[in-house]
Amino acid sequence: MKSVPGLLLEAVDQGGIHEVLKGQAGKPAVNRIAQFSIEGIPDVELRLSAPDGMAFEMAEMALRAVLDRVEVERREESLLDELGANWESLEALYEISTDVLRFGDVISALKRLIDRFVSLQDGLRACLLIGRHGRLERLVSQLSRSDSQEPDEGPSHYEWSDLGPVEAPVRESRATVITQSPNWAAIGGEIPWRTASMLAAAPLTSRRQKVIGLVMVWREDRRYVFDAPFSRLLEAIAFQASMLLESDRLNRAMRENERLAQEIEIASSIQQTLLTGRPPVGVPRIEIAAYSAASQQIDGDFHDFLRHGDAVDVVIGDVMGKGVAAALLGAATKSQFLRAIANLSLRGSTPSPVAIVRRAASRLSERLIAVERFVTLCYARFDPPRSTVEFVDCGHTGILLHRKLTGESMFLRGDDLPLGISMESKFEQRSAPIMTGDTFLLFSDGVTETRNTEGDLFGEERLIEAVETFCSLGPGILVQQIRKAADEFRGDAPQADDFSCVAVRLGPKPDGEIPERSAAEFACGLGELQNLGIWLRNIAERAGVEPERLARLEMSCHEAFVNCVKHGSPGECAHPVYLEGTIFKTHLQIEIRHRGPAFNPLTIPPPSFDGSRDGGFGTFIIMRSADALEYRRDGDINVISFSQFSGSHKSWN
Amino acid sequence: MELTVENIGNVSIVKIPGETLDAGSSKEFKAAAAPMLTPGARVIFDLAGLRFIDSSGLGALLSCLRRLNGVGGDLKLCGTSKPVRALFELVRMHRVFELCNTSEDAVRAFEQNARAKEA
Repeated sequence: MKSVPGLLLEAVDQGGIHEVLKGQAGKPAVNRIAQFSIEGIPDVELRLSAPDGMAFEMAEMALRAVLDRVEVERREESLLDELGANWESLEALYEISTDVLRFGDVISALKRLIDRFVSLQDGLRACLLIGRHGRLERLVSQLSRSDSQEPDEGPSHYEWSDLGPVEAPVRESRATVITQSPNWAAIGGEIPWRTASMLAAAPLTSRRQKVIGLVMVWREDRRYVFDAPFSRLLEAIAFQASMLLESDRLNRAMRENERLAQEIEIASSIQQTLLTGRPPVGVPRIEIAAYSAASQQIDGDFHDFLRHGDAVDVVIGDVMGKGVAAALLGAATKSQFLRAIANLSLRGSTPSPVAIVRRAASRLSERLIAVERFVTLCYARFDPPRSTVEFVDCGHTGILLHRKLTGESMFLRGDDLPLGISMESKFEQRSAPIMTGDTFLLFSDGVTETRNTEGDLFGEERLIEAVETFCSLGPGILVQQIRKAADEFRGDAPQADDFSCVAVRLGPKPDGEIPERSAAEFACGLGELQNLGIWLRNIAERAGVEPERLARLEMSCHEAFVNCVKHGSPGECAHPVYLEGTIFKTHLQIEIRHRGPAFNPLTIPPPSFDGSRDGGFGTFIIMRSADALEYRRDGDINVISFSQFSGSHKSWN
Repeated sequence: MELTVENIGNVSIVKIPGETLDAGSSKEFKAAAAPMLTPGARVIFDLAGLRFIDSSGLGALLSCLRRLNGVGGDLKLCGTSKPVRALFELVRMHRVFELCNTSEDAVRAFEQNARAKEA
């Protein structure tokens, strides 16, 4: 440009006009002048003048190219700055994450984070505020190290409105920079940033993007500018602080969960050792199983068993109230019953359930009334030789009975008051006949009062449903399946109460005679269904199974046979299906054996009863139709055995 | 499987042949019944001859009901014998299907439905 005659480039700033470049000597016949501003340097202008149009246009083009280049270089520089700031924040992040381990508490780690931040600029001041109960609490406040002043602590709590122009953006989860000193006088309140000439803030957010506080920084002088890289770094620091707070919250939640888990473990061991007894085994015709699980606030469910010859007593109870006190009261009640039985038995004969309850109540009620507690309980005696159940129900949940021989379900209930309500209670014993195939369920209210997340109760209907579906598989599986059904219903809702249930099943009488057997072999194909039916009807007739019950037996055997055909692979279907019928005096037992992949009825999902799906009914029909059902695996052979109690026999009871 | 169909007005009464509807015959039954499951069709399955039905047979009937309901038609069942009825009750399908005693009852039920709709 220097070769252009008469060309002149000058820089104009507050100090005057400075010559930047002058063309060859020549008559300065200036006919065009233009002014250029330089981006990033607001106070300086360039003035270009040339003697003619062509010279001017050439010079203007050259100047614009130079200015564009300057602009690009400036941007690159700023990009490098930003990268530098990010690198710094990465470093800080690394240090901070190791700090958390070192300091062990969140406040020290936050202090270190803010300290590191303010050391970037002399005279920088910062504080970290957390929202609590509608106000802001100051957790950390720091000055840059070179600042001679002591940190001005000020009050520890502020109003959101004390943030002035920063409040709105922070509440909207945005970082903000204020370069003009706000009118703090209008805001009022004792605030450390009152003297700020510029300030910036970035929100702290929770995992759910909720604003939980902020980092505020300010300067009283204007030596440095809060520019874009600074603002980014502030945001990075706020992000790290949010992470620290969040991880601290999670840590505390985890420790709390561990504490709860410990409490549950203690509660559970109290329940297992003091409150529950072991069901007797080897009692003729009686199978018993119990299940109990303590909630986190153990509430004193207890149960125990006592054998008198061929009869079994079951006592199940629940102490009002929660906690270890309730658990100990439950244990005391249980032991009082055992003492009552021992004392009464000294007289020679087996005491009746009502005598036991009265005796225990006479020792317990006064004490329970004194501590303002009461105990609901049910004391039941299952007596197969006398074909009765005798029970005293003191405000407990009653006994759920499912009678296989009739398909009915019912509750056996009494109407006595719980122990600890009145000293005048008389107590009354009730009795009911028991029949082969009966299943009885004694349970705590924690079973039926299991709630789901919507707050609905599991209730008696669902309990009856579970008993009707699974009782054929025996008490052990039944109590597990009740727990499973209640857990599935509960979903994510907490277990509020102790959960306990005791199932008792009455089996057939041993007849002592050599049973009659009949075996058959069928090809594994649906074409054999008719022959299977003929064989079954024949054996059922010999066993004296009456038509309605035969129909159910036919249904369960038929479904089991179809299962072998449908679910055995083609190779396995080459193996025949073996059936063996055994006619006992009191019941007919059919055993089906087939080599094939393992089949466990409990792993099959229940059918849909609204008609929306075709499948899943087979297993349900098998479980519901059989009086007693047993599944086992014998090597690679599925063995499924059905029992049908014979209605024509007088020996039902 | 051949199904005997009797038409009374716009209602088709289909007699299910044989004594059993089970895993051995349900596939065949579904294929034979398919042409009757046309849009808006009103169908009665007469089960009077059936002595035994299993979960596969029940599945076949359910599939017919769903297909008909899906195209604006309807299905009613009649003539269920005691053991068949017992199975329906065991799996609670008596709440899903409309069970009538006789085919005449089922036709009348369809007529009542139509009158109720007009009103």
